[in-house]
Amino acid sequence: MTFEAPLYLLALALAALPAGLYLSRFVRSQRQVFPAAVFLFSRDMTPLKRLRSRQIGVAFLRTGMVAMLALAFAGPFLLTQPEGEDEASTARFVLFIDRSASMTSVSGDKTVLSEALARARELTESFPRARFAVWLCPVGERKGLAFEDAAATLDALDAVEPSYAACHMTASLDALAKRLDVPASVRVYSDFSAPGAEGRQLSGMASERRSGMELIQLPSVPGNLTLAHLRETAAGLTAWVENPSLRTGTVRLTTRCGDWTGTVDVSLASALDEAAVPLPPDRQVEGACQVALPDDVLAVDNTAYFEIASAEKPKVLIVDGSPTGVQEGSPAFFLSAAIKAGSTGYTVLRLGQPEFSYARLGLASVLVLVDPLPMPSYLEEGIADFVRKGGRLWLLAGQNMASWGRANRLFPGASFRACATVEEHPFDVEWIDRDDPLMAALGSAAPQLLRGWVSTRHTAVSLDQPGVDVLARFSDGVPAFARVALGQGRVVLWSAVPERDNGSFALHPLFPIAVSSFMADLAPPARTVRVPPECVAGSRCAVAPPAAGDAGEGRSVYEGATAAGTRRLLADASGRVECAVPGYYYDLRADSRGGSFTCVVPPSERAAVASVLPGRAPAAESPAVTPKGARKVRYGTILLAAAMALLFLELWLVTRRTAT
Amino acid sequence: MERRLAGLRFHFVHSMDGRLTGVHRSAQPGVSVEFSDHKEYMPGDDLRRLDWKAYARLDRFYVRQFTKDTHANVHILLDASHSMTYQSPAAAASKLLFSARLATALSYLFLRQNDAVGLLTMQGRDVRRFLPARSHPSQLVTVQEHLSETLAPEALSAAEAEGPTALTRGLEFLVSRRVSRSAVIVITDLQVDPDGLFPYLAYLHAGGNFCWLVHVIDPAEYDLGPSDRAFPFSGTRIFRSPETGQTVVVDSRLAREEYLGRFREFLRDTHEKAAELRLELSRCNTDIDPVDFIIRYLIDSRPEGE
Repeated sequence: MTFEAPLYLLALALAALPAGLYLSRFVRSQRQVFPAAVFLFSRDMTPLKRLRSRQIGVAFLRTGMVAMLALAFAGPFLLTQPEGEDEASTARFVLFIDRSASMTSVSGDKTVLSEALARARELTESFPRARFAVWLCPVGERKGLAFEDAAATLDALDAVEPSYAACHMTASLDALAKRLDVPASVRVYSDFSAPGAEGRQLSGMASERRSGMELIQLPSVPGNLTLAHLRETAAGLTAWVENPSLRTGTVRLTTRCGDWTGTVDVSLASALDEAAVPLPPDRQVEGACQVALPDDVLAVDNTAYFEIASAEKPKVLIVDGSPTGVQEGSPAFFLSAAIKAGSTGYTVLRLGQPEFSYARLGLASVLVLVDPLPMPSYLEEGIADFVRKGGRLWLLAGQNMASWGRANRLFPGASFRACATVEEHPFDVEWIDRDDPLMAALGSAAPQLLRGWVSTRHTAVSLDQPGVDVLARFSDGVPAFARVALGQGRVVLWSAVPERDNGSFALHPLFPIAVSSFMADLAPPARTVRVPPECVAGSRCAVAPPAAGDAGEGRSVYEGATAAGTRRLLADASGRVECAVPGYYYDLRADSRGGSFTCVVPPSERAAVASVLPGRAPAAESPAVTPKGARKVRYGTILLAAAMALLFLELWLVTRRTAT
Repeated sequence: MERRLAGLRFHFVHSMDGRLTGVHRSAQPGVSVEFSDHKEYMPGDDLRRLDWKAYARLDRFYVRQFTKDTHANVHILLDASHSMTYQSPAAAASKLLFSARLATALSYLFLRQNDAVGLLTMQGRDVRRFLPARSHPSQLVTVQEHLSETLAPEALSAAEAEGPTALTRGLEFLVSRRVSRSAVIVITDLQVDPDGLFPYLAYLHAGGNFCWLVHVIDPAEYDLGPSDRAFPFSGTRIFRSPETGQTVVVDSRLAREEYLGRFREFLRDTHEKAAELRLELSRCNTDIDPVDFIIRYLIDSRPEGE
């Protein structure tokens, strides 16, 4: 029995009102001995006992009438199949498939999941006219609960893939029960193994019988060591290992993050141990980190996947053309310091030009040439080839560059000459292209001109090549900052070098801003956002809000892995957050900016959301919930008629009672 | 009470059959001075009563007859059932106490006339107390003692425990004692089998007895006066009949008119029945003086022109 408006059931409490009124008015009547009482007796008058029973009857009738009205307004209905379909065709099965990691363990010559699917197929083929619904744990792409015929069910079973997330069976069964509004037999195919308290609960569940549910326990080797929890801490990836059998000894914990593998020996001494896996210091991991214990000690969900959206740290190679380029106070030093201060997402290496010929350019993301001396042609060609293949080159022209003249392959179309007059020497930027994103940060930091930023120019650059973007000009019109594309890469040019001897160029506050802006353009720093692994199905998942630097080029991606499926939040530059799987209202943790984001659900996706997130979806009836061909049999009218009949019966009794 | 009753005389319409001289007319011709009738002479008649003047005029012998004044045997039948103990706040006394006072007053009145007074009280199914009729002045004391015993709380409790009172058994008792040409005064509230009461009274009346039915009514039961004090109850009450023990739940306000109509109908029925059987029927509320009731009865029953 289902109700269309279950809120009206609250009115059932009013049914107690007549009984309460009767009891409140039930005052013991005053007894009076009266000799002429015989004249009060008549056929119309009711003896005391009968009157009492009649009053109780009236109270019952009123209670029943109120209850009937409440039920009638609640709109009870039953879903029935159309006539003509026999019992076999209306038999319904829910195939609950546990596809957690433990189900991927090999039992014999095939995995436990394969065995479960084979048994589910066998059941499906045994009832060709029945209807089946496949319910996966963890929930997969098939998020709804739609009863289909046998053929479609077999196709759905073929498409079942193992998941490396844990199956929270009790929560999943609760979610299933909420959507299951038609009688159906639930077949649970699982090894009923899970770490911790849930595992003990599942063991109890496997041993008890539930009405309407058949539990098929598949063979599984019980483990004596379980990876209970995994999260990132200051020490790196930290794993909590549950040791219920108090096993002692040392177990090697292996962590694989992309092509990097690290191990740590865990000394088992208590029921719950903690082990920290250090991350490689010079790089950040890519993709999913897999933390595993040896197979011989873990057989139950011994693999946990920790999703990390990350990128490799860009490597910046700074080559200084001056002989003292690697020393402190050199232009390369100031550049390196500014890059590191702007972001920790860079690996910076400084070299002198003599050592540069031995460097492998392929390892670098950005090559910074600070006032380089003329190079051999093969080296110059090598740099140009590096740029054409996608590398980034940052050229700072100083005194040495004046000798390059017109012939260079690093910045095509540019000619360098030494500044001849004193007026050409001051570093005085008069115009900047504020519309260019690269100059936006600098332009906002220096709303006027950059007149306080003083240095000495040694080289005058003239550009006669089309395709060169001049980003800033000196007061004499000579380009100060320029950019040109070369192959898949690009080159930026500064007509000055950071130094402290002849001005404030390297020490000015605008310098690190300009460096960060240019570096962000050349190679965005690696930025990682991790989702806490405490997210479980049906509960709210706190996601770190976007930080100030997240809104860069494109979108920053947040991912959260929960048992209800992977949800993805997209935050664009304006800070607006969209839900890739809408309908789930995230309460984003308030950050320093106090941001709060709400997902908006398009009407077209409400049904899908309702099937994914029970109890949190907008009020929209999911077409997948109501079985096809089902017919609603409403009982509201019958209950209303019954209430009216009770009303008339009560009125009849009441009018009879007035004779007394 | 004595002073007010001192000047009263209670003359029965019926002729009484007594042995002693009294104030009532005897059914037998007697030797008094009051001429009654002429009778044709028959052998054996007293020649001293031969009317010679009539012989002179009519040439036939006639004997003069005179009336005989005799005393009366008065039997007072008192209904001492449980219903008679009811007393409403408006009444000066319970129906039983009022009836006892009335019986005492009548006894005093009759004994002053040299009538013989007997008392019979009915409680329960049997005759509880019977006092044979005597005309000695000490009979009044005996009657009072008798009534005191009847009004004792123990006796009333016993009456309540014994259930409905069979008043007809008392009349049966009188019939069995071959009471004739006497006065039978029944003081009752008629709550016990009134339909069975009238046949016995009719039988006694046919035997030449003067039957007087005194219907005692509490003002709460029915007000015979101009005021409207009957059924002064309000709200829902459980009324219980003291005789039968039956109960009924009644909304007093709704049921009052119907109750009064039924009581009025009951009074009309008993009146018609008494008139049909030529029985004396008097009604009184218990809030009046019994002597006033007697005086009023004597006034109402006085022959026209007297």
